[in-house]
Amino acid sequence: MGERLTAAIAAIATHLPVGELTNEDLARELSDWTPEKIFDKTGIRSRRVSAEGECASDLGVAAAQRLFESGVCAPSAVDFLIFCTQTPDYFLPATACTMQTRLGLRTSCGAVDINQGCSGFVYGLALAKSLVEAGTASCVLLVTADTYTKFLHPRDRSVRAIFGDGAAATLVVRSHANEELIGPFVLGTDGRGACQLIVPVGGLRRQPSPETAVAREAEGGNWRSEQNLFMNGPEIFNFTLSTVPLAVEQLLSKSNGGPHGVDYFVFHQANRFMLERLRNKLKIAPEKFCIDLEDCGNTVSSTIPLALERARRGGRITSGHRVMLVGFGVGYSWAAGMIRVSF
Amino acid sequence: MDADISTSFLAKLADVFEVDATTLQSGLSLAERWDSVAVLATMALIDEQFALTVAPDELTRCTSVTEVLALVDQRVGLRSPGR
Repeated sequence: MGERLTAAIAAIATHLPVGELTNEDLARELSDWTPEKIFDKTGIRSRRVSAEGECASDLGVAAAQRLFESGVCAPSAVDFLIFCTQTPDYFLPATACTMQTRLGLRTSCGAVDINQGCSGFVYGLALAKSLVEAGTASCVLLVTADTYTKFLHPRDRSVRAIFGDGAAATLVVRSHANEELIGPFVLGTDGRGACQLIVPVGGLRRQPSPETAVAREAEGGNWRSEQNLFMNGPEIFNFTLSTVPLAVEQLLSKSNGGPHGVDYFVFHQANRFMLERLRNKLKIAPEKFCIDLEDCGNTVSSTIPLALERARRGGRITSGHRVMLVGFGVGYSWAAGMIRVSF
Repeated sequence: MDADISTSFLAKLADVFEVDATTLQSGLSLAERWDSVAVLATMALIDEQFALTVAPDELTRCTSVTEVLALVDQRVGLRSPGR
């Protein structure tokens, strides 16, 4: 029997754009909300916003370069790049192909884009683990990056108060551990929710026209066109409350341990309100439950690695801790996975 | 609905609409007050207190607190015993 291949997270590096949108900025534009009220409702004080012409790939490249600068591995060691985004540079080619060149990765490196949002990081980890443990790759660079702010109508406060841009680069490598360090996973999909969080126009199903660019007033005095992002907050909330607790329960039974075997929970940082509700429903102690989005908002596919990296740096998690990750949202799509901290 | 539960629910619902409980129960019209934050907060409250999921449009059809309570009572009544 050959040596068992065990995938492990070796490092996480992150990058946020320089531009900032504070609650004070929002309150000036949308006069009936005060900065404190926005914070009370969302748990967010400020979001980072990509500049015009600054794309998800640019944020992702910066995060990956930071990872390489830390010395954890050289670009030439990477033999697979997974780029997770819903805001790619082009329809084609895959953004991952252009990033291979920009990052100086070797040409014998596999590179693919995956299109998932809030569940994307956990999906990416499941794929990276599978590539490593099947022997297909030995050093996988998983980059998550999104610039949702480019999809938002300036007068749609329901989403401008929530979303920010950001990126993370996570290195998944082969290790000599005797136990599983990434996994197991519980993955799920319900496409009936596709219309609840969507940019309706801009792909090939419905192409942009002067008509689709016209913004109209929608619920609650928010404005948007069909080329902007639409989010049905209450429906997403119901989906989350009915799906996430079940996925957590399934993962706990799959990983042979109750909640006491989990040292820390890092859920997709959607907004504080949603997270508090989930924490309460799942009866997780506050000190074991991550809420970390005050200064960056909901960065979609990067909220989990951003929060993980900060929890590690801040000492809230340390090597050997078992951490549960849960992503959920646009799709609908959800993914829950266990990791043992090895970075 | 149990009187204690009802009192605590009404107090929290009053917070959602940023009024006091007396104003809420004196026939305050909710029709114009259902913004997305109020809908979300009320859904969360009903989930917390009664372990019930209500659809957003069921709530926004309620024009007074009496109708919200009736909706909750009806849904609690529909639950099979023992659940």
